Amino acid sequence: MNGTNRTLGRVVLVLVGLVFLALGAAVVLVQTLPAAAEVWHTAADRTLGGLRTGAADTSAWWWALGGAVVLGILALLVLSSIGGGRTGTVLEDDGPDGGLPGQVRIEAAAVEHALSAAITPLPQVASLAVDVRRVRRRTAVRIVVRTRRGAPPREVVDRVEDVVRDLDALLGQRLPVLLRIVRGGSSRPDRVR
Amino acid sequence: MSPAGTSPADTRPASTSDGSGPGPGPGPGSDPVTAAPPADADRFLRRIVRRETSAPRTPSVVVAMVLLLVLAAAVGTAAVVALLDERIAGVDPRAVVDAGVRAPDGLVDAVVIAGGAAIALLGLWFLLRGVLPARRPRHVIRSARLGVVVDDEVLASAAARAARSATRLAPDAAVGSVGRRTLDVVLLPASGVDVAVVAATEAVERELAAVDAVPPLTPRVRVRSTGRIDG
Repeated sequence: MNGTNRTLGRVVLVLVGLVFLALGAAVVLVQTLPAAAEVWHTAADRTLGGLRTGAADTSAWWWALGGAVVLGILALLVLSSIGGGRTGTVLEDDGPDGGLPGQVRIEAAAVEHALSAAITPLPQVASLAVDVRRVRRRTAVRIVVRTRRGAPPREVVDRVEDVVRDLDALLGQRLPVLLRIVRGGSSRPDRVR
Repeated sequence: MSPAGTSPADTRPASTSDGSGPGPGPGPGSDPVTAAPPADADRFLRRIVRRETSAPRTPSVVVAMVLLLVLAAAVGTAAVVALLDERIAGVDPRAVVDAGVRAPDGLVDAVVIAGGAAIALLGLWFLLRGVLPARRPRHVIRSARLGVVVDDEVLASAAARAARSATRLAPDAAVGSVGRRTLDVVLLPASGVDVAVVAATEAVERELAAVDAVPPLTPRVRVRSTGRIDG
């Protein structure tokens, strides 16, 4: 769970894939088929003429330089869209209308500690991590629970649900909560049989 | 935090919309929990859950973008060198364009074809990574309040534990494995020990019914016929 824009990533992958596929296929065809080489010669004379030796002016190379800079900037923009999304604030509220002036801000650490303290004592839980992230302009809580071997997932879900409902009552707001139950952790079986 | 602190409104499943659509539930005075519009919150949670069950394409995207950066740097360097009327490593970029335009004359067949094929394969790989679904070995568990994503290994070990406790076998005598829609439990009893297969199957089915995974899992319990000898 992070701020990566996955749709952008997939679109970029499809575009780059199509361009590379077409480019590679064209190179192979031009080298092997005389008919394709014929087409290439007429097309290349028209489009790449300005880049050849003895061209009339250097404007074509200026265009190439500009294109390279734009391509590089676009690639850097896509790279910068990856990752991120940790946030320090869970919610901010200035209270009801006509109430006292001022703001209430609840930090992520408070929610993380509250959830950790409530969930860690559960007998099925071997270890636990809680973090608050911003995904698609909304704040969401992720709880990662490493269960003991053979722990029934439904019991874990039910107990965490109870804890989160208490948190809802405490905050006065229902935060979106993701619960991940992951493998590993202690190989010792459940403390309670 | 004690479970007694829940208000009656909290027990309402998040997925039931009370006809009024994306409006707040009961009045803000009666309900201490100002619920976000349920439909909207649900959609957001579903989206997060889907992100967790499918693998990110981040590594492929990084590789593709680094390739593009290298390509842009090469073209940019060539353009600067050509504009300054210089040569780089003894080669004039304009001569390279000349050779490209004259293709296939004056180029080595094997090298060009191998290079072209490599570029095409790389493109195909990016394309498939972008188009094909990439599922992770995880299942979704239905919950009224949370988005729950569970590793398949956790489901397998829970089913194995259920089967073992119904048959009183040793802790490591039941092995579970989970596919997308099937759950296999193999019991490995010591030679000569009778196994209550029906009881084990019922226990696994009960466990799966409680878990209520999406997509649903069909359990299958088998007993390994080749026995083994326990110490």
